[in-house]
Amino acid sequence: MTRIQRIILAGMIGLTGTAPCRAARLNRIFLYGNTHLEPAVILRELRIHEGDSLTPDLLKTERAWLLRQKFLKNIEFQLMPECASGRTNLILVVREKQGWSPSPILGRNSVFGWYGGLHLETNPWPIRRQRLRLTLQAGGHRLFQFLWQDPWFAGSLRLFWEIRAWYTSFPYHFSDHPPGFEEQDTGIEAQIGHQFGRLLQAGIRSGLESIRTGERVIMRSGTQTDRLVSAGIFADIDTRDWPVWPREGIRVNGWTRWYSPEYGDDFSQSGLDFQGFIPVRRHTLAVQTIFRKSHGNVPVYKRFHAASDRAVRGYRFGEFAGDNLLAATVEYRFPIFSIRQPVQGLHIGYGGVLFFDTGAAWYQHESPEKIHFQEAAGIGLQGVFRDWAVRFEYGHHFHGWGFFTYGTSLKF
Amino acid sequence: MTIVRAFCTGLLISRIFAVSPAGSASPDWRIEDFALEGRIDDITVSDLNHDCRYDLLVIHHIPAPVPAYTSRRITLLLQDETGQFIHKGHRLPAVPDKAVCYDLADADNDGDTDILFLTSGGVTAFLWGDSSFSGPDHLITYRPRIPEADPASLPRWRFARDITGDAAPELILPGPDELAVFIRTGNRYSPSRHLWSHPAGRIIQENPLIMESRLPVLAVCDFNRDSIPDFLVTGRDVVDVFLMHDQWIHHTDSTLIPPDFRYRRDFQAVQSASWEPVRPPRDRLRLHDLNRDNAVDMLISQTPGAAFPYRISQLQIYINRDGRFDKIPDQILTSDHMAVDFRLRDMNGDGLEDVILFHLPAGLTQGIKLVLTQKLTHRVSIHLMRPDYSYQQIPDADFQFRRKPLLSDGLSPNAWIHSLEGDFNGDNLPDLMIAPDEKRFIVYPGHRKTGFSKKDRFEIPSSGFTGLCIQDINEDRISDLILWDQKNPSGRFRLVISHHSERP
Repeated sequence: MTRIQRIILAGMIGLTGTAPCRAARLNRIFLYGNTHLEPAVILRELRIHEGDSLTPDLLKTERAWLLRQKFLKNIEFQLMPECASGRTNLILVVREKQGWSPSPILGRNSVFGWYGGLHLETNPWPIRRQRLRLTLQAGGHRLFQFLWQDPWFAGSLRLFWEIRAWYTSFPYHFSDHPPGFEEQDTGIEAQIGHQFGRLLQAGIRSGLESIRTGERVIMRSGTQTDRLVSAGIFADIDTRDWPVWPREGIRVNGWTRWYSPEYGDDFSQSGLDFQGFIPVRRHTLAVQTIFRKSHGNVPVYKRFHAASDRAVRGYRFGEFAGDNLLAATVEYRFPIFSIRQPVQGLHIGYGGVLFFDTGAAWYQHESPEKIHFQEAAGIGLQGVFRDWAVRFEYGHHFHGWGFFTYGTSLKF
Repeated sequence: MTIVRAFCTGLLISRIFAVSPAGSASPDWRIEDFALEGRIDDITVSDLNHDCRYDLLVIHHIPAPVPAYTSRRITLLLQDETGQFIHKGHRLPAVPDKAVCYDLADADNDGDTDILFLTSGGVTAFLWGDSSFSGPDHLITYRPRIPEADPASLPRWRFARDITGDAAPELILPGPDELAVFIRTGNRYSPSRHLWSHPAGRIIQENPLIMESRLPVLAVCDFNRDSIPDFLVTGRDVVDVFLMHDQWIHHTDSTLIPPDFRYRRDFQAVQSASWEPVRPPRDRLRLHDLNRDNAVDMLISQTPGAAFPYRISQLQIYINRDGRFDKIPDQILTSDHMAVDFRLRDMNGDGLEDVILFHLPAGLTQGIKLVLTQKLTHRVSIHLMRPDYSYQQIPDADFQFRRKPLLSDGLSPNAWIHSLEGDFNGDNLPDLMIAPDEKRFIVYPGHRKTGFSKKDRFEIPSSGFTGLCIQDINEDRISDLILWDQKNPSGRFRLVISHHSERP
């Protein structure tokens, strides 16, 4: 055997050149860099298997998906042609998130005033991907929330679960019940669901909550505390390219929840939210609709309010209460500076926004012709740095000066 | 004569510098300042006159007019029996005009070290005689494919290597699509082997020939564990392995000899725009026997460079198993930050080579700290090799220090920031030496458990410099320093030598 034959038969050398393989077949996936997570926990997120044709688009999609799961800080995909088989090995080099990830909370509205705090999120616990998220918030709206979730368990069944416990306290100084009262909510809720592919998830949830106010008149029990048991179903479709500052895709979220108070009649509430994002060159046209519907005798503390930083901006926070709600928003977002690299998990930028909000809330006994929609238009600035976002917006309601909305989260 | 005059004032200062010890093991240092004409480019430590004492070979540039090549000079400082470096008129003539690089080897097999220059026309040598160099002697006429000579520098490239194991160095020169091996027969070198390898760097332009300035690294080490050193050629992205055996040595055919193994670094990275080859701006390939099994292993470091911090710093480790590397890395050590450099040392005395990564943390937090404190936090992580020849992804020890960044730092592997080359307290453990500023070094002695000891740190005096060589010049088992400033036209350089008379 000549030396050249030995070289070729060695099967580990690349004398044939390094021309990029545009659609090579996958031979094997090799994973490096994981310290806490089992390889299977990372690799199960991928939708590529041995023998599949590897295209750049497919690899970019898979890499962006892994980054979106938030348990990896960074990923490198590298291809290593395997000359003996003519296939290509895929090498994944990852850096896991470790320790706690903090993110700030800051906001202000016309009723609560200033409030601020911190989200603290543990990064994947050893072996599993379970995650703990604590929210601490003080000021006009006080909140402590404990969230424990596992996004994937039961193997191929692909179930997820979540346990949430919370305590919140805020002034209910809204126009539907002057002069208002202080409300304190305490609750615990569990949910379990199934992930269908990457876009759809659905499940059931159940919880127990206790509402405490100083206003006995509005309480079902006639005391200062009402207790409610609830159960519900939910479904969520999400095709957005990046949740924090999407550029394209839709999100549809529907839910129904039945409440059974300790005293009084049962009631139920349902919701359907739609968000759509359409790229217009470098800009984004974003639309949102919110629909809420109640049945039964809804207590005051479960009413919906059309004027809020999540529905119609430009009005005093908590205006326009009712058992039902319909709101819609159109936003035109124009980045002034932005870097969007979903494949590298890089989203940094700031830009302006023009918006038009409209919405109405009404009670069940009101006839549809009496529903009066409120409108507001406004302008604002939005900024995003990876998973953090800030906004500063002014909404004008055409009947005098409007209101500012600012905080560390976007409307949608 | 200008240089001789300048050297007459060479020994400017010789004084004992006692350093206030911060720990029990801090040594004393003697400082000697020298001055040559022109700016110092490089200093090499070697036993040139075969008297078992290290001598200094200084490459410097006198302020010469056109042509610039004539400004390059080599000056020798020989160490006498008292440990002093003396000149004795051993200055060499001007470096050959077209010299691209030089090497030190015993070209005439008389036991002394000779100086060889690689030029565009072949190899020229200055041979050491009884007490001085003579020459130049033209050893080889050959037109190697090498970069143009750079009048601003004269690097050392080790092209004189003994690859046949007969103690006589062969001369390996890159040619078009080959490496020509010249073997000495009698008193002459003649072309003997032609290796099928073209690692001399990428050709940017054919006529006139413009190449990358990077020359291949030639390594002589055992690859297949047959106790015979083999010949490895490391180019830009290829490692060629030529196994040495009797058949190779007695090979008389003039045809090209192909490598026994060729390892090509043909990774493709999947980035946002397209697939692209993984060739980060700063990557290094190192051949080293990590597990002390007498077979060389391979390490490739990839530092993100301009794209940081959104790519991962990696150190790919290929363990030589049964005389070959697997194409897939055995391990990849990663870093959040820019792992700007790495070293291989036995940090715990178990006979296995451990990996020490030097990190430069990047990102928003580091930026805020820099603005507030004017200092950068550097991290040194130590990954100990396990008995199964693997490294743990999580470092076994982490060591951090803070320093004010200097303009001369840059972002490249930089000796001014930190070095692990020396043992400055004689305990056979590598010590971490950092340069917090331009006036001093701080040495953190090696520690078997924690990596390095902050408690026992001590200082070594320094001066404004851009060049550093660490070597145990006086052979007292404690490393010494040679410092020079490549930008200073005064030609001054400094020796900081451990004061062995004070050793316990």
